Amino acid sequence: MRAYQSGDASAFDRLYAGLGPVLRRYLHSVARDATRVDDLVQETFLQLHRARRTYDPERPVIPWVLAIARHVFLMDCRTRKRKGDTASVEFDETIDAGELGLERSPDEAVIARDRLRRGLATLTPGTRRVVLLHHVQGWSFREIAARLGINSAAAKLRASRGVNALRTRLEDERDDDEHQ
Amino acid sequence: MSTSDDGVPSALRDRVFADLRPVRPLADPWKRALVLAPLGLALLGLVHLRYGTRGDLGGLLLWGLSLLQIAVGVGLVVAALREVIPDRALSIPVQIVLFAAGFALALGVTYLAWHASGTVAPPQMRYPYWKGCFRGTIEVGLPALLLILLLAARGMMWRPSLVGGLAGLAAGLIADAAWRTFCNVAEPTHVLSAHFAGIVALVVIGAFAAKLYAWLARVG
Repeated sequence: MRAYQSGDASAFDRLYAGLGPVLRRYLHSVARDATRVDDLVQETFLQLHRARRTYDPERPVIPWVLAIARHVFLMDCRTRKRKGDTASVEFDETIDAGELGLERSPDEAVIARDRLRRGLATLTPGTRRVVLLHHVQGWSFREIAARLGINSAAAKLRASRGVNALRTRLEDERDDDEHQ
Repeated sequence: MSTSDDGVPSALRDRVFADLRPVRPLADPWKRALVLAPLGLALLGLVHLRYGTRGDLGGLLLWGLSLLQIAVGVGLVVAALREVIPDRALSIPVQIVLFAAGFALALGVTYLAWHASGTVAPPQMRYPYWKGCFRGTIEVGLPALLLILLLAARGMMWRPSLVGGLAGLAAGLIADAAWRTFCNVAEPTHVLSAHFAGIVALVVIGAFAAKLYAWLARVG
């Protein structure tokens, strides 16, 4: 990012290669439409280019990029709403069960998503935040630590405990269903 | 959508590479906002030199509260400059606290001055005093407002009304900090309808100017 700020053309390609998948994952989790995600990723990179002087090299890059992506997504929703396209303006920042490989049939997907949401609701807010940031939005533990004001080891511990608690709860629920 | 060998869409690459000049990262909002501190002190000095100093308040209530207003004004500038950085935008509770704190300070200063001094405007001079103080607060505040908006415009003004409103409140507090060292009418009706209204006017002007700037930047 520092090289990009100093006008290095090849830095943009490296940035695109590095941040593209993270942005795609994030935008897919909120927009859920592959064509729209492509457009949003491009628009995010354009906004990123315009905003490049606001990036502080001392801070983690992912939160900065995701803030831009979120703005781009919200602007897109606003534009679509103005044009009357209400079908695609739903904004869902919650975890997508499909991303964790829990989807089977459409019915099961709904059930799995519901279970996952309930499971997440049982975690403490701090643990839930770390789990979502790391496993859904792809943040590194270092970035999470910087964002939440904790150290990387604590972020790792929270993520690990959160996932274990979620796994136990989901397995228990599945066992209960099988016994019924 | 055509893409280059490394997967970057050609249209995106063309638009980015058409403007790939080096940029200097913005300094921390605190450092950038400190530009306003000397301006606030200069306004204080200018009003003092041009109009003199009111004689009804002691040092702490006069200079102490004015310096406090300038400090809070600079704090609001920091907030406005944070707001234009993508990952440092202000949450709604913080926005509420900032606006409430700014207006509460102006009201608190009004109360303390009235409690300590109690001076009122002569009946025949109410309107001229009101006009002079309302206009004076806005005129003194406009250079500060312009400077804050110029600083904010280097970032991403995605919520221009908020940025402009904060800039206006900051400029208003700084302007009032200077103007109140001269105006010796402590009567709340005068202070609220002239000085406080001047601050509110700067908030509105700031929000409108920032929105206009954002619109021009978008269509331009």
